[in-house]
Amino acid sequence: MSTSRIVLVDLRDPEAEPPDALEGGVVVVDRADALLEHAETYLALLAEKMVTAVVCVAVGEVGTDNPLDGVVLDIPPALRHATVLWVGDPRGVDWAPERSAPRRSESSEDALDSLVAALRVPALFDRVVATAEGLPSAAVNPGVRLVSSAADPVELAEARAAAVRSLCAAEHATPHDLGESIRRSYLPSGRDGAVLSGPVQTSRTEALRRLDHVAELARTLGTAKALLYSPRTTERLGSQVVWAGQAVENYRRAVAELLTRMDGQLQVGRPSVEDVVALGVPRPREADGDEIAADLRQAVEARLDDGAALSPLARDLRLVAANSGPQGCATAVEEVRKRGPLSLAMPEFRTWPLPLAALPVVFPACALVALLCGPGWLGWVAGCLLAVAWFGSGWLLLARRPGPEAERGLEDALVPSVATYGVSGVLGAVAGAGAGELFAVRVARFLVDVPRWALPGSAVLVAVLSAVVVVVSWRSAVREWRDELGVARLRATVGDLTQIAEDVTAREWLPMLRRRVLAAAAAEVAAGLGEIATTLGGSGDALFVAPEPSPGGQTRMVRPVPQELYAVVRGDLVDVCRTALEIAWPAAAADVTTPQGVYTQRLERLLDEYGADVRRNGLMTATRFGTARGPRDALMARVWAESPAALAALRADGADDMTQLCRSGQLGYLSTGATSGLVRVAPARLRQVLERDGAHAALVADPGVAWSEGGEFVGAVRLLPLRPESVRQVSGGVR
Amino acid sequence: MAELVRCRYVTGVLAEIEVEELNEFVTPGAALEQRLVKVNGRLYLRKYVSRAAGRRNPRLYDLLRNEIRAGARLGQVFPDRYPAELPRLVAYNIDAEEPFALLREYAGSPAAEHVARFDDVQRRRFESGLLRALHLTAQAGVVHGAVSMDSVRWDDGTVHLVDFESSERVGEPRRACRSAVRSPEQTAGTGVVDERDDLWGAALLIRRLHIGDARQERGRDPQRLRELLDPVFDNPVDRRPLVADLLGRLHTDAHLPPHVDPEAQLAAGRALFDRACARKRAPAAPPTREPVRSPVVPADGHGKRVFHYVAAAVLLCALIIGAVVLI
Amino acid sequence: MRCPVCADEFVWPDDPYISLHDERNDRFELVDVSSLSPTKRDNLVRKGYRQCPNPAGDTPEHYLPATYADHGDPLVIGLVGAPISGKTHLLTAMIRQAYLNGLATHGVTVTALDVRRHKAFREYFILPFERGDLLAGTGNGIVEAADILLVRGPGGQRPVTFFDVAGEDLESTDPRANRFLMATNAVIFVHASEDPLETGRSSGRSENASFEQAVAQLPGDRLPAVIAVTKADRLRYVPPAERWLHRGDETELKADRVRAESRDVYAYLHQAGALASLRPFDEFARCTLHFVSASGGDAVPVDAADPGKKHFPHGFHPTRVLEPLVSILAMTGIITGPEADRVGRP
Repeated sequence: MSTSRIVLVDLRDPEAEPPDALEGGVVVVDRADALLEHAETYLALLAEKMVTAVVCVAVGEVGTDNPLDGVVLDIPPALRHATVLWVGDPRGVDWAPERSAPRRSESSEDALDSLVAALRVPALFDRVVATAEGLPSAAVNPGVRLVSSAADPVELAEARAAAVRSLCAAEHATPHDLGESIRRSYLPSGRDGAVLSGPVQTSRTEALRRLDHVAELARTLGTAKALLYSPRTTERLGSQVVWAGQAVENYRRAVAELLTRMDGQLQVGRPSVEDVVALGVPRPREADGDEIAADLRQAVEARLDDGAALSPLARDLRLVAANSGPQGCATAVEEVRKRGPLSLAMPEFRTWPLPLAALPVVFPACALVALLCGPGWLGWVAGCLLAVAWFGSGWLLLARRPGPEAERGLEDALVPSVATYGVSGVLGAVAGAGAGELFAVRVARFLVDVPRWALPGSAVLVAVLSAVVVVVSWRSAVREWRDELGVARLRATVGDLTQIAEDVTAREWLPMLRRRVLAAAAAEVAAGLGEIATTLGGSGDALFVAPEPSPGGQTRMVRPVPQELYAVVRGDLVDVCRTALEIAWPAAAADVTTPQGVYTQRLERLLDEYGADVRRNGLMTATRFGTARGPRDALMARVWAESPAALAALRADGADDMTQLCRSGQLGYLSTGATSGLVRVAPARLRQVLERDGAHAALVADPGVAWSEGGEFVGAVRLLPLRPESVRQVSGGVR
Repeated sequence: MAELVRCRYVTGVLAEIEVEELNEFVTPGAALEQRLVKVNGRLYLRKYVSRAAGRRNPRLYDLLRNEIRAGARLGQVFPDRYPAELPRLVAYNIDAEEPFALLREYAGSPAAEHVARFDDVQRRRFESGLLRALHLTAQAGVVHGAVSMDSVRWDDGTVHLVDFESSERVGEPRRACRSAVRSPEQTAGTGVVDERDDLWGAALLIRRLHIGDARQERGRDPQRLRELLDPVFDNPVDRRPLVADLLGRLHTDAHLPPHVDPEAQLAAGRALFDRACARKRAPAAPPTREPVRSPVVPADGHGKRVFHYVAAAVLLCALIIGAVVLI
Repeated sequence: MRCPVCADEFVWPDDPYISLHDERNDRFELVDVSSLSPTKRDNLVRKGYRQCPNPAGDTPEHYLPATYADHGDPLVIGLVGAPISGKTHLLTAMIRQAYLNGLATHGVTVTALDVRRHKAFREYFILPFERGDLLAGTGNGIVEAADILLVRGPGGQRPVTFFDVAGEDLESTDPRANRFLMATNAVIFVHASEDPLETGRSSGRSENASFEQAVAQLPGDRLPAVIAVTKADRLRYVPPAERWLHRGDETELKADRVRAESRDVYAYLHQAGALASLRPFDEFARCTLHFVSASGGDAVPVDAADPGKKHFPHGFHPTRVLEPLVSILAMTGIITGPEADRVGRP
């Protein structure tokens, strides 16, 4: 069973805090002369059920009464089931058994620290335990050749600063309209479902019915029906026109009222939805908060994945919120209001439907007929008949002339008709008949050659022509009047009003709830992101603080932060922010506002956790937040490419140069004749990089290499057993 | 320690009050120093110019004068039910070594602390409240002159417009003052102050409230905001909508609390002046009574003309008919 | 010729004797200039004085500039008001502003006719006033012309003198007081805006003894008059004074504006119940009313322990103090034009 967690216990420091939980593998660092003293601690440690193995790193040399006895270590019985690594000297010496003499270690780092850090990699820990178990001695001395791929703290701090800068940048690198796609999916563009009903629809129907009625009346006005029938539908034409205008105005008011109520509900929540629906619009469509929140999340995460900075994204979301929320319909209300008040004007009908210009025709016509049919009683009768016909038709047309409310009426029209058509006709008839009588001889002589039928024929012709004049006059007056009647214009207005109402219903009313939920969700996420951006800009600096350069210390070569490192840190920070933002999604779905400061607290806690994770496990292993493999693989490839020593360390065998953790004088305690153990370790991530690379197939296939899940160490640990006489087994806890 | 100070109420009446200093008070929109004080057990805000500050920046005296002038005017216009949206000046002393204005303690806290977490209802309440405050100042003929997030406070649903240090009075020549929240006319200092001057700053504030960043181009603003604010931004001040129009668009109650015209009480005196002038004019130029002329009744003239016309027409008709008959 | 100091009338002597002031001994010496060359004579006349004969013999010996008679009839302006109404402050502020060319926008220039007298006025009134000190009140009694201004305007040039009188004194039979009243060409009635807290009286008195006396004795039908409400800075945030004080000093004469201000001041006095202070308006044919503030603010004690000693911590800012004078100059024809002609007419 492989160990998943390694706990470090340092018994050298009495002040050190005990680990919070003992489980998995335990690395105990202790002084060699204190092992017996700590026997009970080891006993307790090994008795822990959750502890799978214990590696005890004993540092120093036990002092015995006889300095020449060669004993360097006293092992209490409690440690019989533990792996004991004896470290004679923390710095160690560079030494290749049987190949070279020991030399002072060239490494500037403490080899013990490297060893302890490497032992915290579970794969190495397990291998060390297994290898030591196979060796004949109760304790072994480790030699190490480890190359760390951990990031340089200064570079890490710089990468963090650059990542924070990038995430908190105020401006967009590439402008992007986040709202467009989101709105498109929730806010329809057509007028589907926006059907008016109820009172609004009723008043519309009434307006159209009345307009149609007036149009029909106007059409019939030119026919004989309008003149002769009784009762006539055109009798009160003026009133009908006014009523039609009023009906259209009523419709306009109904639409205005509907839109005003809608605007009120959309803008301030008053009047209630019921009050709006009561006027004849469908209920607003239901909104699914979960679906909207999920879509919004997808869009936001896609933008984060694209490398969007937090502040501009928050700004975009705020814009989405503002644009998605109910916009009201004040302009439509204004538009409808501006169109009123509507009315259908009653055009003035020609004052004399049979124009007075016809009078000069009436007189000669009657005179001519009387003359042609005379002399004698026939002339008088014919002339008078035509005069009466003229008068009668003039009277009838004048009586049927539509007024502002009703037609003029026979009674009213009598006097003017008598005074005009009547007088002209009678005078004409008298003049014609009289002239016939007075100048009978002359006329007879004049007409001597005219055929007999021509005279009555001419009289009939005159009478027919007179009738034509009457009919044409009425018809032209009606046409003229009809042309001025604005029924078509009002009908178009009714259409416009309907269109306005339906547009608003479709655009604003039906998706009202969706708009509200979407706006609230976007606002919540925008506020969260804004708070996160502000917090990151402020608290982000506390993460990965570069160590102060020691005075007089070596000046480091400054190089630009590797792009791969920057990508890893930025990716991790994005994930930290993403995790901090996670509470926004349920809040957005439920239309709940998260109180100010919650995101800040959350982010600060997550940043602390992330920092601690990196400190404990190294950047490569701290993958709680950086879930994408790519950046870390790239970083690993780069580190590998930049470090040839790593390859050499990984290929080392037991006889190669390593830093043996003892002084050169202590090498004698080691049993060089016996088999030594060799453990080689490298992060599994390196294996994948190498596999992809293809150049180190042998290495990848080497079963001797332990590919650790985490860890930042590449290299080898050599375990040399101590001579049996150098280790003294002490029973009962006393020497 | 309590201190006896002389000051004038907004009516101009001199009074002596006991003021107990408490602690410093800061609002983002004030350049003047402020302290919380206690008078008769009640908290007040004392805006003042200390000797040192006055020596450093004599302009502070002008700011205090503006604050007092606006506050006095508002107090005179709303003597009884003072609107909660505006700061209430109680007393002032501009002649003292350290001149001061004494205002009722402000309610709420600076709006900037709240707006980021406003929900939609709160945002709409904020914009209505802001416009209502401007409606009230417009009624009093006062223009705030620096409407911004800094000069607005939020108290659980109520907007308070405070710090009238840049205020002006409607109808007086504009003071040139460069500020991002002032309208182009205010910045240039041309023409006379109009009650719609403040709408510019208010419109910027409303934009900021909704879209977070007022620097963004207006083309991307939501339709509702464009419809509401474009008439403000796109028109010169004389064509800008009135605050009451905007309140109407927002379905907000635009009625005003009981208010008085401070000049109304002078009406009787002015009428008396006019009568006194008329009396003085009288002996110098006794009014000559105009000779009573018989009034010209236009209807009669018209009637006469119609009669002449009809008579002529009848005569002409008779002539024609006669001629026709005779021939 | 009327002496502006004793208000006595006398014939201007035509003799060749000129009094010259000996600065060292502070006394006048009589010099005969008839024998001198014309240039020298003119020079001495410009610097010299003539003693006023004071036929009534009720005024200490006093001298007038030898050129006094060259400038036409003097314009004598009387200031009428209660002792604490701020007449001295108004007079000082008015004369100071006039010397500072405050009337230049109306085409009027002002110079000192009597250099000696002007120097004294400057020393005893203007300089303390400029320092922000309070001026000693004049108390009761007639105060003679403190300074003689030579005013040159579009309507000609005239010496202008002021005399300051508390109304109660007009009741006395003092012949000098009566002479002053006879000599007066224009009157400024001074009404102070009072604080009941300071005066101990309820605001707006219905009686104004000074005004009553002066109105009774002055010929209202031919004298122009001005009612000036002093200490108007106390009303600087109260309508209608607020609007006028905020305007500051005017730069051109507009009869309508003067009338509007008069109407407002009238309405203010009426509202304040100071009906007695409005009497001059009814009695004088040409009368204007103005809000003025001689110092621009109230004086405050220098030390809280000694409330008697006061000063103006922010300096003094006379506001609209020249408006009464401009109205008088317009009504007496020194400022001319159609606008000036309408000033003060009902």
